[in-house]
Amino acid sequence: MMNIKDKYFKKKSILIIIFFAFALGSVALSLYTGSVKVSPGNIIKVMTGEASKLDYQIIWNIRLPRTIVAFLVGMSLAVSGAILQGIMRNPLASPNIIGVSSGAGFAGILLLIIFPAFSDLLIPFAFLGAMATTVVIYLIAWRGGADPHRLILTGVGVSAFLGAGIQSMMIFFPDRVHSVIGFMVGGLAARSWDHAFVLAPYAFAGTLLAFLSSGRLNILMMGDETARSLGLNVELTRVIFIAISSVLAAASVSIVGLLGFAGLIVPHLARIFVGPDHRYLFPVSALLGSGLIVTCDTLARMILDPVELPVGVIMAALGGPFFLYLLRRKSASSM
Amino acid sequence: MHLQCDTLSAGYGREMIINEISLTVKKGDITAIIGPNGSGKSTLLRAISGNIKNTDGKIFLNGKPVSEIRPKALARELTYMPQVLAAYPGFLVKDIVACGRFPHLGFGGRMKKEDHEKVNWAIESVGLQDYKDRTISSLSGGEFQMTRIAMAIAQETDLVILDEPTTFLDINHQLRVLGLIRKLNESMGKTILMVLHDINHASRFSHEIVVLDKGCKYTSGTPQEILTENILQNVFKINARIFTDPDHGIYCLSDSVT
Repeated sequence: MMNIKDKYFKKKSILIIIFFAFALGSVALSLYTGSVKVSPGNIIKVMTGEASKLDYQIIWNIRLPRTIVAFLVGMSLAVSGAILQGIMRNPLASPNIIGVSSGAGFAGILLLIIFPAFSDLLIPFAFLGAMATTVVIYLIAWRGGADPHRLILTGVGVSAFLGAGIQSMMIFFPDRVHSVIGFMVGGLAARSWDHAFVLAPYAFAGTLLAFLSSGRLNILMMGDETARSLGLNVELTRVIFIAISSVLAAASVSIVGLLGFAGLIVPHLARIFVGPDHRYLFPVSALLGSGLIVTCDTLARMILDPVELPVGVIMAALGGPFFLYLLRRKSASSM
Repeated sequence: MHLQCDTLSAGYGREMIINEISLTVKKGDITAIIGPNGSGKSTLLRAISGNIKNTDGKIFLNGKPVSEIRPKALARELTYMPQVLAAYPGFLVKDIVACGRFPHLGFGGRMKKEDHEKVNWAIESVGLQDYKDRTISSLSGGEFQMTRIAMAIAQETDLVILDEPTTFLDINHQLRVLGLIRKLNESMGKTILMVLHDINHASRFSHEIVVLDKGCKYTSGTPQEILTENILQNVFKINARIFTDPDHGIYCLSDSVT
């Protein structure tokens, strides 16, 4: 970005506008689609507060909060994944690597299976489980500095250990397994304004912080030694980014379940379009992530209507092949 | 006097790689460090650039202990170019060079007009103006190395430290890179400290040579003082003949291992 008139800058800005339109379009489609058809005119009436009671109930109390949760989750997971792939300098990094999924999974399933009486506390409990696991992984990986390779391997080790705990619980309490499946797959059914209000501050604060520090992540990508020689406090920067991405992912996962896949593939999709520069990668990942989750949730409600599929299933079933297609089409060097 | 190391010892974990090395890099000089593999050349540069902590000894920059200078302020005084740079292939040449401005920017990291001009100037001074919109992955090894030097130029430091800037390059690009480093020294007035593998390049392109052996400083001096049959035999374990050429100065032909 040499100056504002730069062609390159212009091209990226146009892309960001396109993705913004995509995200908004997906929200509109999500509000419009469902078992009960509400016309666009009536949807607007709901927003201005002059609709019928039924329309109001469907749009304002059911579809809108659910769509907002989907939007925030998609944004948070995508930005979280983009941060981690950057600081780890590893294309396979995702919120799973810093133990968010295994930590939230372990805590959530522990609560649902062993202490079902407290299942109201699922969200804070899963959130704390995710954050605590990130801290443990970081501390174990620390040896005069948290080397990205050591972080990744530590994450794999800790996640495997917690996975063993999850599986043991499911084997010892087979009668309670059905209550945790929804949480493990990840779904948006019955997400309300309460969920949206819990998630929103984390999602917006984390995303905003990521946008503001995108230049620092670019510096960190040059490698620790070069970053240090440019005057960046490498360890501090890395721990701040890990904290941001852990909060983003933990808040999402604790509300909708283990939807980790979005955090892995969305940044790659975004990179195919705008390249690795985080000043563009973060906004495009955020918009693409929110648009994709909202769209996948719309499909999840539509495909087998009136039966609803979990959004995690749709995301993986459609996102996986589409991702592979893009990977084959674009040269692997742009990843 | 620009950079001074006093009985510097450093290593990785408990393993010491360099022991009690003292050296002075004079302002305006090109100083080359040579030595066999494993003699601690790169470790010495890492310790000086603050990438590893020295367990003993002190480093002074213009008389001030480096440990008392804040990282961003230090990055306006010295830059260090490691052997390999892990850059994502999709970055453009101008993006990489612009990173050199980072220590001069405020907290928000916004580039001003002046910063953009300096990036352009740095790209032009290494002759990459036609490449500035190319991605790193489309560059040859030599062009990539030029890009990194342009980043160091954009950083505007008085002291430039380079770890084997000519490794992996063909002879044409080796000479181009070394010529560029000489230009940094002569026309931009920068002090240079670099590790070189090629003894003849060290002789031809530097004012002062420091010889490391087994983690200790063996000796230092002008090329004339260092390129002797005796030193080459003791440090590199080679039999060499020494010649003088009116254009090249002193150089050696290595005949065999001892």
